[in-house]
This record gives sequence, C-alpha cells and structure tokens, in this order.
Amino acid sequence: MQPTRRNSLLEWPASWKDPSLLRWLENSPFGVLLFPEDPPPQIAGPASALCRIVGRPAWRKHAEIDWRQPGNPVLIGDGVWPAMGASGAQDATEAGPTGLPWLEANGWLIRMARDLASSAEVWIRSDPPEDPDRADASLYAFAQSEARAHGALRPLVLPPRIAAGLAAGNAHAVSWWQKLCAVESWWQQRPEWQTWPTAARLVVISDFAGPNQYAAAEFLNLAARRNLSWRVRHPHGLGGEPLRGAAAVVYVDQAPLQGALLELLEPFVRQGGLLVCLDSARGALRGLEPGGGAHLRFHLFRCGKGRVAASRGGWEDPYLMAQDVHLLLSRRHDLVRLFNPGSILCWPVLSPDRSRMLVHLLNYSRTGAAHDVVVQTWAPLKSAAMEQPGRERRPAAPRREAGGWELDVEPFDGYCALELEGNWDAAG
Amino acid sequence: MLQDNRTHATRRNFLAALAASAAASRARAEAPASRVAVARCDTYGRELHETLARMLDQLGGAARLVRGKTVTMKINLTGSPTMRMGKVPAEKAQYTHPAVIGSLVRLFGDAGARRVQIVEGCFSSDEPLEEFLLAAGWDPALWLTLAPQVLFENTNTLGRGRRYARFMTPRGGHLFPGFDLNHAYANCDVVVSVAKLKEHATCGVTLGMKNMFGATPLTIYGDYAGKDEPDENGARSGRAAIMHHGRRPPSKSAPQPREEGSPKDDKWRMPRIVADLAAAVPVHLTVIDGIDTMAGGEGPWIRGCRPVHPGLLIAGLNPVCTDAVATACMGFDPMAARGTPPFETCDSFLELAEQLGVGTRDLRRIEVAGLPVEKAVFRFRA
Repeated sequence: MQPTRRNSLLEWPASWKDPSLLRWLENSPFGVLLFPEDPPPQIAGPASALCRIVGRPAWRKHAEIDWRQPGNPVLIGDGVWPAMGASGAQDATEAGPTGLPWLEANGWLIRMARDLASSAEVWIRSDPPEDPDRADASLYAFAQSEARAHGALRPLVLPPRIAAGLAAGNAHAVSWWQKLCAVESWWQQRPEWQTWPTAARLVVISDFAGPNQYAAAEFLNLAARRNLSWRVRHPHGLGGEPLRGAAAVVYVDQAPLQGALLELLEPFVRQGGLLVCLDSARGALRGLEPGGGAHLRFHLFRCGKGRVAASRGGWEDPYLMAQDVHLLLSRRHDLVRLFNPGSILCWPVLSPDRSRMLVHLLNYSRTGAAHDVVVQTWAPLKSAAMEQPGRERRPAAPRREAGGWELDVEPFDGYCALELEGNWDAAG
Repeated sequence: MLQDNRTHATRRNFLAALAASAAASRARAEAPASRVAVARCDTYGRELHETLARMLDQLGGAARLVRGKTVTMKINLTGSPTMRMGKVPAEKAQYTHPAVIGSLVRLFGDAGARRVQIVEGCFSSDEPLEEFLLAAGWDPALWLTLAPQVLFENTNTLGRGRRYARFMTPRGGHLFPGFDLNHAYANCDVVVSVAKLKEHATCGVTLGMKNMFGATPLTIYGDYAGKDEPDENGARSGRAAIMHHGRRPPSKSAPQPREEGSPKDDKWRMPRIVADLAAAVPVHLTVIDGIDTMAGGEGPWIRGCRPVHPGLLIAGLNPVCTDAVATACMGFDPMAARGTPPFETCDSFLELAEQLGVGTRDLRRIEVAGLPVEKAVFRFRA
C-alpha cells in the first residue's frame, strides 16, 4: 500500500465567510481547495497552511480541449451528475433505443482524457442537483467514487443545506461530511488503482476534433454503455506499444490513413487484426480483397490474416456504430461479462504485472441490483476479492460454469470493485 | 370460443359455431397419433448423450430421420441473454441447455446429417446467433466440429437468404392463413424444435410448439416491422403489437391475419398463432429439455418463478403428441380447456392444434416409450 496523498478537491462554499470553518479541512482527505473566483484573502491566508489553493480554475467543455495540449490538470467542466437518466415525469426514467435505462455517466469521458493526456491529472466537475432532497450523502459519495474509479478527481461541491449545517455544527451535516471524508480517504489508500490502465481488446484512434469529435466521443460513450472497454490513442501520439493486446482498432477520423498511422495499422491488420474505419479513409491500405460475409452497413474486406470493415454511410448513428463494432470484434473478446446488470456499468483495469484485473462496478440506480449480479470471465481465476468503501475486503469464490468462470456479486449500493487474480496476459 | 360468443349470438353465427364445433370433433378424431419417448436424466453430463441416443432409437433412430439431410434446429433462448433468475444460469432455467443442443448436433452428425443449422429468433435483435450465444456466456464454437457442417442463423431477419419462405396454414388456420419465415425453415429436410419444459404466462405451457413462435421474423412480425415490406433494420423490440395484441398488421407482403372481429387479448390470440404455426411449419422432431428448468412462467421476469429439477427429457415426432405428454409430465391434463390448469386464463394451443389436425393430445391414443407418464410426473404447481 502506497502512502496516502491528501489530493481530494473541495470547492469552498460561497456562503462560508468565516476562516474558522477551515477547521473542517484539518485531518480531512481534502488537500486542495478550489475557489470559483479569486480566493478571499481572509480565507486564502490561513488556508494555504492547510492545503493547496486553486483560484478560478479554467474549466472547459471537453469538446473544446485541444488534446495535443490538454494542460495539467485537464479541467473538464462539462461532466454530468452521475445517475440514471430521469424523465420529466416523476418516478419515471429515460430509456435508450434498446429499452435499457439511459445512464448519465462520466467514465467514458474521464477514460478518454486519461488516455489522451496520460501524464496529466484529470479533474472533472458538474453542478450537483439543485433539488435539496437529492443532497443525500450517498449520491455525493457515488459521484466521487465514479470519478476516482476512472482515475480522475471531482471537486466536492457542498449542497447549501450541508454547508450551512457544517457552519452551524449541525449533527446531520457533520455526519454527511464524515461519510464523504471516509469515501475520499478510502480512495486515497488505493492510489495504484487509479493508475492501472484499461484492459481492452479495442483501441480507438481519433483526434477528437472538428468533424470527428462528435462521432468519436459518442462512440466511446455508447461502447462503455455496452460494457465494451477500449483504450484511446491520438493519431499524433502513437509512441510506445499503442496496439498491445488489441484485437481491433476503430479509426474514426475522416482523414485518410497515411504516414505513421498507416504504417502502424497495415501490419496490424495483416497479422490478424480488425480495422473499422470510414470507407473514404481506407484508401491507402494495400491488399484488400472483398470477403468476410455481407453486412448492411459495412464493406467487408480481407487483408492478410485480418479484416477491414469500411463504413458505407459514415458514423451517422453512434448507437449503431457501437453495436456494429462490438459485433464485428465479437463478444468473444469481452474480458468480463455481467449477468443481471441492470443499471451497472463495469470497467476493467490491469495491474502492471498483469496478474490482477480490477473490475470497477458502478451502480447508477444506487438502490442495489434488482436481481443478483454475476460476473463471468473466460480466463481461469486463481482467487477473487470484493472491496467497497466502508466495508472489509472479503474473498469471493469463483466457480466454473459452462461458459467460463463466474463470481456472485453481493448487492451493493453505488460502487464496488472486484479484484480477480489470474493470468491476464491476453487481456489487452 | 363458442361459449365466449354466445352472448352476441345470432342464428347465423350460432349455426356457424355448431358447424365449427362438429368440424373440430372430426379433426380431433382424425388427428394423427405418434409415439413419444420419455426418460429420466438427472444431469447434463455424460448420461445426457446416452439418454438422448436411446430416446431417438425409441423413435425409430436418428439415421432414418437425418441421414444425408439438412437439419434445422430451432432452440429456445427466451428473453435477454444477460438476464438470469437470481444466480441461476439461463440454461438451467429459461434456455435450452447448450449440452442438449451439442448432444443433438453430435447425434445428428453421427447419424449422417449433411448439415445442421442451429437457429433462433434472438430476443429483440438482429445480431448473429453466435454473438447472442456468447452474450449468454456460452461458446458456440464447441458445436462446430460435432457434425460435418454446422451453421448458425438468427431468423429474425432475412439472414443468409435472398427471400422469405412462405408457409401456408392447412385449413386456413385459426388466425393466420400463413407465415413468411427465414429461409432456414425451407432450405432443410428436417425441422427440430429443441424446447424447454416450462409454464407460460400467456399460453399456459411453453413446449415444442410454443418454441416455434420465435421463428416469426421481427422484420415482418416485430413492433418495428416494415409496413409494406419486411424492414431488415427493424429487428428490434418484441412482437407485442402485431402478434400479442393485433394493434397493427404484419408487413403487407406476408399473409394477413383474419382480424375482423377477433379479440385483441393475447390469451386468445397467442394460442391460435402457436397452433397455426404448428400446422403451417412441419416439425419432424421435438426434444424438450426438462432436466433443470423453471416453474411459474417462461422467464425470470415472471413474478414468483422458481428453479426446479424435474430431471426429464421428452422427445417425439409429432409436436402435439409430444407437447401433450410433456404437459402431463408437468402434472397437468393435456385435455384441459380454458379455465383449467395450466390454461386458467388462456385457450389451449394443444386443443387448437388438434383442431387443425396436427396431432392428438389424447394420451389414450399416444404410445409412450421409456418412462411411463405416471412415473415421470413432476408437479409444477406443487
């Protein structure tokens, strides 16, 4: 276990004028204080002895970030409040085209930023719900955990009632604060989790700019909704081993393949990989032969041992794009599979020595799973354990079933992690 | 049906009903009878293959049925592949178990089948059947070597075919005079329904005949079916609007149901559609997996359902006879009419199929090989 670092972010409430309220930061995990405006001198002075101060953070919309120069930290100001999508009607939810509940989630956006700005911290912010009835500590704890699970930091924005309550020493507000502190401390004790890279067989390449931005970003969002994990690379950032473990690459952009990108992808396909791209972007690829069956939305080609799927009509529907890519790649490459997933999203990451896969499970309904959730993997498991804030780490017993190795997940409120020990060399 | 209509009876339709009733009685007497094999099988292990082989022998042998032929196997994958009844894998509750499917493919391969096509109309989806099976946590690649040629097809769409195949219902059917189905049901010599021993919320029981309801393509009979022609992009959602509730017709290109005056109640409609399909699409072999299954309904979305272990396999060459014996093995009377378990709230598709002359449901006329029904009974309503 690495030493803890007090790196949690707190947005100083505008209603707090009294510097004595800095006492709430003492012995807390919150070591970075954010001021939307210039910090008032009577607060900034004494605060600087306790924590780092950031005034006027330059939050930006993610679509406006130049990913060649994203800054450090990357400040994403248009995150969403994580929840199941609510419709206008009370007691109702929005559904996507499959009938699945729509989830307001930030994981895809954080993972995209993490991959594109790999040496930077990622901070993400969204306004909390205005409804004071939705100020429950568990909602805020879930929002904090969502960001942490994907390797980002989210500034805690105190609901007005809690800020006022803490100023007055109100017992409910103190309890609320302590719960959030406990969650942040729990994450600070697991810093390595937040640096482990995504386990994925799919790599998405795009500059996420101009005409490519919408399709690329929505694809990431909707693929994550299918629990299809991916890693992202910028066409101008192909150093290292960008395709290690990949079985498929989606090249989203309109620019034809050329230069270093072509030199990377052509041998990848010839050696057995799948490339999905726009028909207009594949022009420079050599040795394509029609084959591999018929598809409503793609021209299919064989190339060496691999395949190329060239979109006939472009990326008009990101939902179909995510579905098509998943099926062209094949679910055979799913690293983990959930049964009875409901409104749970999962994201697998790998330890550097590839001996442990950590599966983050985020339940956006926050009311426990409707049915018992089961996780399945193809890879044999040596052992497994379940962790979640506020509870002891406990072993889970993997069992062999017809389709692979399975684990029962105990009901959990918002977040839990499964640590799966095995051989994950082939896990991307 | 006669009873329902009496309150609105005119002399003309009363006489028509009498004539229909007489015709039904004649059809019942003429409905063919065929042997059904019943066996105890406690697990999906080695004994499964041996038991299925013995049962096929009791029915005249697999070779007589499939040698040199193309076999289409309609399996039962009801509902979403990721949905389970609690922690019970789908194959031990609502889905045909992959071991049963694999064992049959091997038996057909060993018996000289030229090709085995495994087919299903996958839940709300046009995705390849192999991908649907993977989503259920199964590995379909394991079946590829069990027969000379093993193919998969999701029959919700045109799939590999160039056009839909038309199947007309003898005697005009109760509701549908015919159906347009995926080519896999026509480009074959033998159709096998590989079903699960379950109750059904709308049809009372779901056995070999109800399994075939999933053969109707979503592009024609689904909620997003094309208006005039099949919509190959429309294979999503279910079949509630057209089939269950008659709120809209199937694509005009397909035979149209006789909707005039027909109730929109799915417990009236669905048994008739099942019976019409049984008459229109010849099923040469029905195999029902009742080893591990569920009671209380057809899928985990049914409130109060529970896993059960009847430890039974049932197989037969006539779908009505096979389903009748299976119904009896579940502790019900296959002669039961509406209002009596398991048809408390729906019409009996066994009776309706019998009226179309598909087969008899009268146990006195059905020879049972292997385990006698009285020793096989597992009461689903215990």
